[in-house]
Amino acid sequence: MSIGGTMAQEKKKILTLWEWHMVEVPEIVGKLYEDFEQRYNVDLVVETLGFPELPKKILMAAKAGTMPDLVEIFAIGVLPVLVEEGILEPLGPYIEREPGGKEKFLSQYLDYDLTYYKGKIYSLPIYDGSWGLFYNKDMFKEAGIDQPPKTWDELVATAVKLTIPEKGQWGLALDGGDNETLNGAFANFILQNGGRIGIPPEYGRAPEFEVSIKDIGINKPEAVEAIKFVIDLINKYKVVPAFVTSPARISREMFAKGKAAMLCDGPWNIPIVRGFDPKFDWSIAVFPWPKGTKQKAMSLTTGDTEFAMSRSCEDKELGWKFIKFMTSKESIGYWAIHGLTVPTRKDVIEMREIKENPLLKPFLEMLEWKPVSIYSHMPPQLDAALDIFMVEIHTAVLGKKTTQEAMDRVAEEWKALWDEWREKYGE
Amino acid sequence: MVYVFILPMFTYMVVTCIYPLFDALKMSFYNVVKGRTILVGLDNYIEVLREQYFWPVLSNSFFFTGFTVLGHLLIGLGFALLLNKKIKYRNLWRALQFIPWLFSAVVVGCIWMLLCLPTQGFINGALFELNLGSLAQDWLGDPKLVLATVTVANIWTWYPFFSLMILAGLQGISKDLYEAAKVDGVGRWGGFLYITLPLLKPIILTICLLDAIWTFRFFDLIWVMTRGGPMKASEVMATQVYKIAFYNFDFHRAAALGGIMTLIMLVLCLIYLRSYHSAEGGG
Repeated sequence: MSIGGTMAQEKKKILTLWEWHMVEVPEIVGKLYEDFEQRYNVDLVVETLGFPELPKKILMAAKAGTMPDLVEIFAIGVLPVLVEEGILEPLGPYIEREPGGKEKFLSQYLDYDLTYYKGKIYSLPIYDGSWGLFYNKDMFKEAGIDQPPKTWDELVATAVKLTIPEKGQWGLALDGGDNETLNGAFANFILQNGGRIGIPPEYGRAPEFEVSIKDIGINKPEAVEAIKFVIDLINKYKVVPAFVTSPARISREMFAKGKAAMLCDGPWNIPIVRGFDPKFDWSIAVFPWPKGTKQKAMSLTTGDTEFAMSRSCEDKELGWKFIKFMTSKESIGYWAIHGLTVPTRKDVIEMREIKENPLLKPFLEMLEWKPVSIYSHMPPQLDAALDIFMVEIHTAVLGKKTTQEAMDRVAEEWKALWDEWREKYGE
Repeated sequence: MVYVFILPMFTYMVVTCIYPLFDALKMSFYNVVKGRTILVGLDNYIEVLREQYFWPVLSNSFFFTGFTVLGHLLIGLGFALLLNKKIKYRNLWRALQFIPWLFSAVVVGCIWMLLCLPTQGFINGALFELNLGSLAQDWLGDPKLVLATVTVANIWTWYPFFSLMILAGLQGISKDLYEAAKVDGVGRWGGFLYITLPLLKPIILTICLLDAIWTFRFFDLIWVMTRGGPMKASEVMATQVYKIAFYNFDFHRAAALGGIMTLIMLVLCLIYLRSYHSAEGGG
C-alpha cells in the first residue's frame, strides 16, 4: 500500500482510495488494505483525510473532475448529495451478478436503508452505530450503587447521587456542543418515549411530495416530553456539566478522566476511552428506558463507515472487488474483533469473539430492540438539519424559548430544507 | 522586457486568485433547479439578504472585526512603545511577546477553549482560587459573552504582528525630532501626540486595514471554539458561508454570501486608499 503517492510496480493495477480510518485505526485497516493488495495484485493508493473534511474534499474533487476510484463515506450524511451530483456508481448491477443474486447477497447484512437513495444502493457498510450507557464502576461502588440504571427514574436518581460539584464530579456527560447532539443526547430518549424525529420511514429520504409539518415528529408530544426530560437533567437536576459547551470530545474526556460517572456514547468510543488509560473500572450498559415502556426502541445511526465507488473509477470490476472484500465476513470480522465495533453482517455477529465480548454485549442486545435509523428520516442536508436542532436546543436549554417553541421552529426549518431539496433535485 | 518579468507573477495571480474569484462570482448568479443548473440572476443574493440570520451574522462580523482591530492596535502600540525603550533584557521581552503569534489558529482555539471551560477551565479555576468565584462565567456557553470571548482570543493571537510593525516604525523616527520638541517645551505626551502618532499613521492605517480584511474573513478560530454557537451568537460571515456550502450543500447561495463579503472588503479597501492618500498628503 502506498500512502499519499504511487509506488508503481510493473503489471500491478492501481486503485485510488480516499478514506479516514487510517487516522483512527491504522493497524486494522492498514492490514486489510495490504491483504487486498496481495490477494488481487493491486497497488492501492490511499489518501487519508479527517472524517469531517473528507465529504467536502469529495464534493470539490467531483466539481474539479479529480475523483479517486473509491471513497469511504458517512453515507447518512452525504449519500444524497453525492448521488444527485452524479459522483457515485450504483452498486445494484454488481450485486445482482453475485451468486444467488441481490436478495441472497444483501441478506447477509443487517437491514439498512441508509445505503439507498431513490431506490438504488450505492454503498456497503462496515460497522454499526448504536448508543449505550458507559459507566464508572468505581464511582458506582463508592456511592453504594449496585447496577447501572435501567429506567429514566433510576437514571435521575443515580445521576443525582453521583453528582458532587465541589469534587468536580458529575452524574452524566452529554454531548451538547456539536452536530452529534441530537443523536448523542436526545434521540434515544425520544425513541424510547414512543416518539419520532423526522418523517415516517415509508416516505424515504427525499420525498417527491411536499412534506407537511404534521409529518415531522420532533415537535410532537412524545418527542417534546423526552427532550424536556433531558433538559431537566441539565437544568433542574443539574447532573450534566457544561452541556452547551461540551462537544463529544469534551464529554468523552470528562468520562475518561473520572469527572463524569456516566456517558451516552457508541462502541466507537471504547478505544477512545481506553486511549485515556482510565485509572478506574468501567463498563457499558444498555440505554435506560421510561418505566412501563412496552416497546424499547433505540437510535441506530447505522453504517457509520461505508465504502462506495466513484463513477469515474476506470476499473469498476476491481473497484467492486475492493468493496466486496472490505465488507466480507473475514474483513468485517477482523475489524469488529480488533476495533470493537458492532458489525453489520449477521454471520459476524454470531462469531464467538463478538457475541461474548462484554463491552459489545449491550450494543448487540440493543440491536434486537426495534432499531430506528433516525438520520434517514431527516432532511438530506443532514448537517444543516442537525445544526438547526443544535441552535434551537440551546435556546431551550438556556431558557430563551420553551421546548415546544424551539422544536416547532426546528420542524419549520426542516420542512424548508425538504422543500429546498425538492426544488433542486425533485422530478 | 518588463512584461516578461511580470508574466510569471501575473499568471500565478490569474490562476490562483482572479479566475477562482470570477468563477465563484459567476456561480453566485446560477442555481440548481430540478437537477439543472440555470441562470437565476440576483435571486441568490436576494435570498441571502432575506435570510433571518443575515443581519445578526453581519453585525457579529463587524463586532468581531472592529474590536479585534482595536484590541490589536492598543495592545500592539502599548508593547511597541514599551519595547522601544531601553529596558533590561529588552531583546528577551521582544522575543517572548511574539509567542502567541507562533501558534496556528486551531491550536489557539484549543488552548482558549480549555481555558474557558466552565467546570474545569483555567480561568474559572483561577477566579475561584482568588476568591472571585462570583465572577466565574460560562465564557463560551453564554450567548451574551461568547463573541467577546472569541474576540479576546483572537486579539491575543495577532497583537504581536502589530507590535512588530509599529516597533519597526518607531525605530525609524529620528530622536532629533523629540529633542527639538523638548527644546520647544513639548512634554512626553505631546511628543507622542504630535510626533509619534502622525509619523506612525501610514503604518497604522496599513496594518489596521490588513487586519480588518484578514479578520473579517477569519474562520478557523471561531470554528474550533464555538462553531458559531450557542444560538448563533458567535456566527460570523465566514462560518455562515461554510455552513451554507457544506451543511446545506448550496454552493451557489454560499457564493452569493461570499460575493457580499468581497464587496464589503472592497469598500474597506477604498476607505483605506482614501485615508492613505490623505495621510500621505498630510505627512
